[in-house]
Amino acid sequence: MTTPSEQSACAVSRRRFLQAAASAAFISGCGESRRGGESAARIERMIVLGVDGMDPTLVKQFVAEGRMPNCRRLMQEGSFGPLQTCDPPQSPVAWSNFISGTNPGGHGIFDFIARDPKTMRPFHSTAQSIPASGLLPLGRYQIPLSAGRIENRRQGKTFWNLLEQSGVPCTVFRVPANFPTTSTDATTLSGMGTPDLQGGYGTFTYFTDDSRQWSRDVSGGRIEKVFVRDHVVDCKLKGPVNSFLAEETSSELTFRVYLDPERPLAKLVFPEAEIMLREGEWSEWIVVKFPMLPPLVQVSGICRVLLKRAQDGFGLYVSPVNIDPADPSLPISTPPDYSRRLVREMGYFYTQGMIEDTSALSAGVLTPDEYRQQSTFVIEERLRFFEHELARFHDGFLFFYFSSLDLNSHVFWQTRDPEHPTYTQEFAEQYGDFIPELYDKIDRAIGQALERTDDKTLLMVMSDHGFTSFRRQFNLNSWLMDNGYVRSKNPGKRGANSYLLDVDWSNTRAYGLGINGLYLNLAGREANGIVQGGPEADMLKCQLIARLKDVRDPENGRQVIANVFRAEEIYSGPYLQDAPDLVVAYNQDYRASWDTVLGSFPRQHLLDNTDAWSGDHCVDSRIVPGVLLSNRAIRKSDPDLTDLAPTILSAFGVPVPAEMTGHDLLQPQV
Amino acid sequence: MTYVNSTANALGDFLMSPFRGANPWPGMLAISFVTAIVFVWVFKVFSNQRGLKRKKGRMMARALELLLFRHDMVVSLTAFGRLAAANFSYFGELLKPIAVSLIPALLLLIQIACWYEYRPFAIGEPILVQVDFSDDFPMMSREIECVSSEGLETETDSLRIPSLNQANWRLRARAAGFGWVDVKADDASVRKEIVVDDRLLKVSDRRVQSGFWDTLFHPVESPIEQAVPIKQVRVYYPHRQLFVAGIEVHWVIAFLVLTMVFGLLIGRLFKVSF
Repeated sequence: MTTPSEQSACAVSRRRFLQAAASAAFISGCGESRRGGESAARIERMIVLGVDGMDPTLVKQFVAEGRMPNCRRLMQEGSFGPLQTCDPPQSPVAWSNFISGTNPGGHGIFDFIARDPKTMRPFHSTAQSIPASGLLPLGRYQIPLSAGRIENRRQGKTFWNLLEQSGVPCTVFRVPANFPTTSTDATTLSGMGTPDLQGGYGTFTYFTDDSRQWSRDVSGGRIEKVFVRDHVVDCKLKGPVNSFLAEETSSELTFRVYLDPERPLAKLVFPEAEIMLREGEWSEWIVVKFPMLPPLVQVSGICRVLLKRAQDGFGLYVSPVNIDPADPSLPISTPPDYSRRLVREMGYFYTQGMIEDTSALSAGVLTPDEYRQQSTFVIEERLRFFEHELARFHDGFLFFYFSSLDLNSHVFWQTRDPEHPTYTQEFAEQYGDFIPELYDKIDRAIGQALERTDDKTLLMVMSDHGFTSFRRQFNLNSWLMDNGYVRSKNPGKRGANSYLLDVDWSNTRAYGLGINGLYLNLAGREANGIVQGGPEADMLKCQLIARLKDVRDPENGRQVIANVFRAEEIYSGPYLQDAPDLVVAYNQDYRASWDTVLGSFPRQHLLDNTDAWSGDHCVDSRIVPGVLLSNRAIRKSDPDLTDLAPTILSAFGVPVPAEMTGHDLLQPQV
Repeated sequence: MTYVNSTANALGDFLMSPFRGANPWPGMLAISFVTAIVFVWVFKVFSNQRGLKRKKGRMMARALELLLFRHDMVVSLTAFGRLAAANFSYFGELLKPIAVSLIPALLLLIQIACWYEYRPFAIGEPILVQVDFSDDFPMMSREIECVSSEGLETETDSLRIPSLNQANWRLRARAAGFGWVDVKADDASVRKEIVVDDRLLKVSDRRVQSGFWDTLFHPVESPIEQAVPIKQVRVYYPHRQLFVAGIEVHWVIAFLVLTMVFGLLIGRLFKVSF
């Protein structure tokens, strides 16, 4: 999962590196081999529930408390156990392992953030924008002569393509790391990684007349100062970058809010809709259309708003503008009509990858209660759609993804950890029931799936990782700088810039980027690399591993980093060369700091995590295994995420490609 | 205007009454078919069929002339001018049937819009009711009220916008049926119909004070009396969506295309020259 700072990074990195390309898009094998154990189909149907962040310890606890009867039933009738996750246990990496049946060396996703060694610029690891080319200038406009596009950077074969090729109908609902949706005959809807209309992981807008506020970007959002005149407020909502303009700027949509002079009520007049809200109320979905090349081209989005204040001040929260599933400007489903059909049958729905607005909570724009309301909308919407998909599922394969446990464990974990720096008993008493409540709802979905199973149906419930507390943050880049591995160009302005902009590359031997990545400044690979490959690089790696594992927290003497892996130790496959040279696996309760993830160098090495983002999983993978529940016996003793794709293929009697490194979990190990 | 609207309403209701199902397409097909028959007949009666044939033949001849002598610029230019003249002459022949059809076509489109521009509310949907008061009515200092019928729940107090002299209420649809709201201002009261259903039904998005164009374009409900300080009561119905192979098509496009296709087929059957 991304952290708020990652979200900010994504937004800023998009602005800096992907903005033009992202908006431009609006304008617009390996041989297979049979392995042992494969036979004719053993099942007719298979349902996999992908529950991001479901923690095995919590499942055991809640089952013991009698909270999750359907999980208990699955445990008794089938099997239950931890599912080994990957290093690093980040969602895009883990879900790519699940999708491709290989480790990251086989699919090329190693972290939320990757970098181009020639420019040293970071970018989203899962998708890449290819800008339109051949622009024809026409006054203040420019007309692209070829359409831009977005490419999915995940490599390797997807198990659903192989199933479809063998005639097994598939529905894959919102699996992460599948934006843009890759070409397939399967019915798919993109999930985590799908941007909002501004191109980031989600940018909220907060309109306020608060005299202490001013218009500015904040992490994952934007505060807009507005003025109330005669009980009328004019608001401008930013949309996608308009690459039809010669001087590319964000498109804008103006809407007007009328306030009652005496009552806490407001009428919002958008070009496409008029709605009325009471103070404290959320709207339904609102369609907003951003003009790009009026009147010919416009980009359609959907958003929800919360009227926070309508009396004695004005406050209006506008959610990130999601891609309109009824008129998608980017490829979010296969077939392309699938998202439209869902709108017709079920109404509008969230299309953004990271739905719960944790950034607005961290920024203090949403109160915990308001955030919880929004989160509840998400899980209720997911449950409705699951019921819908389950009702039309008769044979073949169905994957359905739930995000709620993950993002809410991130922001409500402090309610479960009295030693967390932000823990208060009052907060724990008020919100401590939310995570259990969400587990109950997932259990309800498991119950619905169980009702649809028979002896020819295989049901699996799995998660990509578990959870642990995030109490202390480690500034890896600062440590590297203070130990002589990184040299700054401006030591006096240390910490002022992100994205490694202050690095003096001619005197830098190693640098951190992403949550767990550590790269050597390698000659011949990095643009200004100084470390020679071979023995010099090996020696540097050995030294870094030994010294990093030796880092102790001065507050309590605990080891901060549990392990540091060489890429070649844990990865194999054609994309190994793109991996970080070292993968930093943090100890329990520790994680990379918000600053270091983006290549910044603050002065402190270790500090308390005082953000709402209080739980995490980007630690040593052994600390945060996922969950695997099945209605059949799991015969492999140490099931791993990469085993699921081969298991699914084998269950339908489909040959497992040689590049899939996992094993069939339903067959005894040879 | 009231009599014209009453007649058009009655005719529209009669024609659409068999098609009040959940699927809007049978009604669209039927109304397009009937319209095509009527307008082909009107065209046949009010056009000079012999003259039309002659002028179409002349247009063809000029086009052939243009094609045959395309290497001779002088002849081509002359032929082009003759072709343009023939075209004008042809359109001149169409003026009479078009003039005769114009008013019925307008009334027809207004009637179809009542069925296809908006759809009734679904149960559970929010309903925004907007009331615009006369400019001389001091809304902020007077008592205004919105009373709803059974099946509709008034969720909010009135939201008053002094700069527009307008009040708004939000209701919620709780049961299917033809409900209403009574908007009361001083001693006056105006009733506005609100339809909640999942079928193809006629809806009126606003009830207006009399005025030729307003009354013409909002024919379903009788005009608000002049003495009442309310200019209009508007209900924000959701737009009706028509889909062809998953692509949304505006009802006007669907109606025109279907009517033209049916018209061409029927015209051929009855040997009508267009």
